[in-house]
Amino acid sequence: MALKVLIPVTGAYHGRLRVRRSTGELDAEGLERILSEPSNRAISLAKQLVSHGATLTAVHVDKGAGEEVLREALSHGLDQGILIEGAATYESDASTRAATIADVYRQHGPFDAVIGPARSEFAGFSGALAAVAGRLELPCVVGVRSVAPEEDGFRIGYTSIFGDYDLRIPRPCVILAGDIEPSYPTAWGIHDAYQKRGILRVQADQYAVQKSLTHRQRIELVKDEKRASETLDGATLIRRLRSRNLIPEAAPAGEVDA
Amino acid sequence: MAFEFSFTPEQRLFRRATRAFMRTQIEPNLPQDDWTGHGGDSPLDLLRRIQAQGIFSIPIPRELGGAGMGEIEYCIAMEEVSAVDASLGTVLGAHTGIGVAPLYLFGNEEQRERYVRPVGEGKHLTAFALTEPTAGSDAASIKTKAVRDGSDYLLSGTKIWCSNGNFADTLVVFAVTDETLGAHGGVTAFIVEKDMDGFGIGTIEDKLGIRHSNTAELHFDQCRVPRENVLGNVGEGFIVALTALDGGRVGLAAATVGSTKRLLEQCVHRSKVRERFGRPIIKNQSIQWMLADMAIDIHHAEYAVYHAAQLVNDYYHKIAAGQPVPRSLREKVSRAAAATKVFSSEMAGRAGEAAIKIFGADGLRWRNKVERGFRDQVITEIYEGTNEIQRLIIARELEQQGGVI
Repeated sequence: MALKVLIPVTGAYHGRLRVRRSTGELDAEGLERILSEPSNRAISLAKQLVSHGATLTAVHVDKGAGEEVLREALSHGLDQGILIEGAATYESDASTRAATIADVYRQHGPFDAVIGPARSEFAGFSGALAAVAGRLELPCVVGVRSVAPEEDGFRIGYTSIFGDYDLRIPRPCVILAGDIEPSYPTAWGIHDAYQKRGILRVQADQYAVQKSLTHRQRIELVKDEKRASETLDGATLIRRLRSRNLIPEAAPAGEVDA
Repeated sequence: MAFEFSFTPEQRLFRRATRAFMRTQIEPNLPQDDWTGHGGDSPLDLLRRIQAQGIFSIPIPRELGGAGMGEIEYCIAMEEVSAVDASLGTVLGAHTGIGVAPLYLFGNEEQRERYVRPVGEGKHLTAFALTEPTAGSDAASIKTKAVRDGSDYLLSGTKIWCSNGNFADTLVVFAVTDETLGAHGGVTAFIVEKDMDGFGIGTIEDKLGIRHSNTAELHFDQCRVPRENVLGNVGEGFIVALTALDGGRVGLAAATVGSTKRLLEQCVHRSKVRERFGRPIIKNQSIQWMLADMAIDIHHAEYAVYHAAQLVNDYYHKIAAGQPVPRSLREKVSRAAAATKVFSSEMAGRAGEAAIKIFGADGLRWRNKVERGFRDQVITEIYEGTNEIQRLIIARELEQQGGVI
């Protein structure tokens, strides 16, 4: 039986991030949105199933320039892409994003696995995919470094502070990728991602989730002067981003800076 | 109407992906010392990894197994590969710019299927053999002969300075088929396979720079080449060579842009951390001017390269499709390729000298990156037509056009 894998991917800003001194807000004007590094690692993990005949489908909940993020995901050799548009209003709401991805799973599935990034662009652990597992009542495992089909489940390898483990997990399931070697798209893959592969575009409001959320459930940005003054410090922000490997370390001789 | 001059999202992704791959997967594994072996050996294991990324298959159509991209993407690849190692850039240029290009542009359907498809699929590497001991800049003076023998040709002679010559699977070789006709009419291009009888590898040159790029001497001793391996028409080899060299020169110019951009990054970093008189040397106006001049040069060279690459792209599309090529386009391509090659290679020379000054004595230290870059740059003013020959091409054009460009 051919395996079907859904890969939720996220974007990241490419280039030098700045902080506006006057407002303390992140200035991302003119920066490209690219595939986030944790998403790249999730793709790298999912590609381990290609030799077992798996079909890989990427899904991206757009918060602007989403097509480029999804095409970059496809350039790694994925089979198809689903772009959820019109979702910018709840970009920071992990629960709503989880509900959207769960709806994609139901409507375009069944899938044998959801394999995604364990980290989000700016925060630490991304809760969205754990919430997907919760909504779909699927088992979920975090920090996976290898995956292979085995009987009615997957054999997965992961590393914890206690050492390396091999586990069996039934399918379907949700797997969050650990720190594995990233994937590099080939010239063939990049060409096909732009010239051959189609993207299925879906409006976010076609899914039930937005209607089900009440005002009480929505997350909104709270303007906190104290908090804002703390985040005004661009160096701190950059240091935090670097500590999460979201932007490169300070450049050694000859390297490009963030 | 807007004058549009920007990279597409696909091209930006290709640059990012190539840069990430080259700097994380290739650069850390490059031999630290390029001064070993017989003139330095090409790191074939690394070349195979680059090949597996499709970087050696860029301008070949998808229908022939290639990446289906064009000259712009080829120049992007030349930049990013050369930013990591100029020798690897030379291997890529010798393969794509002048090795595969004539096979695809002038090959018939059968030849494309047999020789271009394996390149497109990332299996084969190619080379271009024109220069001889008595014919360098004066390429029309080649002596290698091709004599008809039944349904075959027998090639006899020696080629020198052939990049990739010792490991290429397929070579485009130029030989005289009619001594009475001269360059235009008397020279024919042949496709030679590395295993053909009578073909042998001679000396691998021991060079000052680009030592990870093998430069081979080739011997043809009654090398039997079937008639169906004539590339293009008999007697039109010189057109094949000149057409390939036009595109090749633009690729080389892109390589110098890539390596100079990287050098500028290194120089800026160095001048920020190197302190004299209690402050970083980047605070000194003399250093600032050197850095600014490098940036100005790069700015101009980059625009020139991609403008020329677009012209070559249009030119090659017409040739590949069998469409008539207006003479004006051919002349424009030749002039743009020559001008871009001269400017970019000399820019790399100026930048190399400035970099050594910025690095101080460290810049002269044997086998450091700046020193190696300085050695690697020298050849760019010589190969694929010396800069003096390029100036002749431009001046001849000016004379014909009455100075109007």
